[in-house]
Amino acid sequence: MPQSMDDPALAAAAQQGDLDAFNQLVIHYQKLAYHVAYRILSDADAAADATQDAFLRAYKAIGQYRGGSFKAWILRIVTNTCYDQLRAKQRRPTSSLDALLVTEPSPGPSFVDQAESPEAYAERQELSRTIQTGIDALPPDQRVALTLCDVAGMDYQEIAEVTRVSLGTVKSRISRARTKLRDYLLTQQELLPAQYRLRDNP
Amino acid sequence: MLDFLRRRTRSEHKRIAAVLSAYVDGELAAQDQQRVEAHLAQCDACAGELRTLQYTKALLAEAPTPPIPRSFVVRRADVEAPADRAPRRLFGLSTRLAYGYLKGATALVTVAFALVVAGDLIAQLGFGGAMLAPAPAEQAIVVEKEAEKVVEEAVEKEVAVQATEGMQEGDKETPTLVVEGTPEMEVQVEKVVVPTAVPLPVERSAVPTASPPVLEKEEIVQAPAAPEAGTTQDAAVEDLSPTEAAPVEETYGVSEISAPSPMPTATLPPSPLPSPTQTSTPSVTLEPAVTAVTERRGYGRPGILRIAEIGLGTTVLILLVATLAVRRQQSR
Repeated sequence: MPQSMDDPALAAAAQQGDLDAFNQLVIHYQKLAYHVAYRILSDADAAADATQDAFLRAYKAIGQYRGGSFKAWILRIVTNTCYDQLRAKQRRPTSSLDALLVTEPSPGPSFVDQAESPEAYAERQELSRTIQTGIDALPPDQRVALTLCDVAGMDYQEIAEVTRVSLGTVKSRISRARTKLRDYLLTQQELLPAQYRLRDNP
Repeated sequence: MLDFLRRRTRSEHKRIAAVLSAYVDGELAAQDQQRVEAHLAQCDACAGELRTLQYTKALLAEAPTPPIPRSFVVRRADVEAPADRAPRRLFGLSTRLAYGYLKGATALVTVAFALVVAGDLIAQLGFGGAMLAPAPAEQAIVVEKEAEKVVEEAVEKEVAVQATEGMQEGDKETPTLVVEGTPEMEVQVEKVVVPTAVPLPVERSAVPTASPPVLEKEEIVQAPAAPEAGTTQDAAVEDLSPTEAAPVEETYGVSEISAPSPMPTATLPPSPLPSPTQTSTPSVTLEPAVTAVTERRGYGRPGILRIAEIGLGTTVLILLVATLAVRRQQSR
């Protein structure tokens, strides 16, 4: 998702209290923000809450936006909100109880896509679930770095600024995370839909 | 020689593997990128590793995520409701802390209020020896009501009452009261305590010397707190007949309002003493006997006590409301 040409102007208007201008930015970035939150939190409802919370926080803190990439700025807030949610979840791990109650992996939210056959739809759901399971196994810092890189399409420098760590740390986090996720996906090859298997895997 | 080569290749594998992910992301400097490409060209293992990493990246990028469940546009109500809460943080306290402090303050003031009321009761019942006397508050109400009625009569007759006592000499208190036949007079006189209607505690004759003899009548009359105190208690004493109140008229002498009040509720601005010449013509001078009665009552302390009770009671109410309000905000 490229940075909109209007971002600086819209952000400047939002800083003057123009809520409509801010909401144009919301509309532009909400899909990305939600997807990042979903990959980090691995839960549709929690991701929706975090996204809403992040945009609210962003509007209140719009005065602190000092130009630069609005995408990086908003994703930092989204990421921080997700970290808060993860910490809150750790403090009261009700999810472990929920997990006990749900024997099957939860059906997950529907990935409705127009003009998609039921088979393709089911396969895509299966792929998304498998990948999410692999991501869930990563430590939060690696999960965030990999998500910002591969889902949000940010470069290492931006990720370093968003997560406030050094470039070297970003590099090693992504390398470890991707290697682990790769290893997991390779063990799931047989479970993955055929079209998503790595055919020429030696 | 071969050994050396193999070891060198292994370390090269490790080095390449370490940067392969960055290579996938196109994050390597041009120099490193060329080295990786040179190695990949002759190393199938590393080339395979690269493919799996690229595959992983592609899958993650392509993997569908659920569509956004709703629009996340910020509604004006969302940002303005929290804006209302902002002032609550101006005090530098979280609502939780503020709630704690408020709770403590409420408890403290409530205890103080209870102590003052209890002290008042003990003073009247215990020392007065009139164990069967009506509750002090009721006494006051009766007295006030009587005074009010008397004043109403006085107003109707357009009588101005001037109660004059000798001016202050030594520590003997000799207040001067000038009462005009104006409607405002009602307010002032309702505070006058009537001795004849109730058993009088003797110890009250100890008049606090702090009470100035000066009656700031015109200003006092318009003090908003006084009429409230009187009117709210009216209902309890409606059975009083004017005849019971009649003797009260003679007791116009000292108003307890003349005592300087330590409570914020009685913020009466000092005013120039109205000169006797300002009073309307028909005037009544109180008999010395009445003066004696007035002194015996001692108005200073009950006045302060009453004001303290009203003030503390009001503070308790305000704090209680504030505490409940903060608790509601907190629970949101």
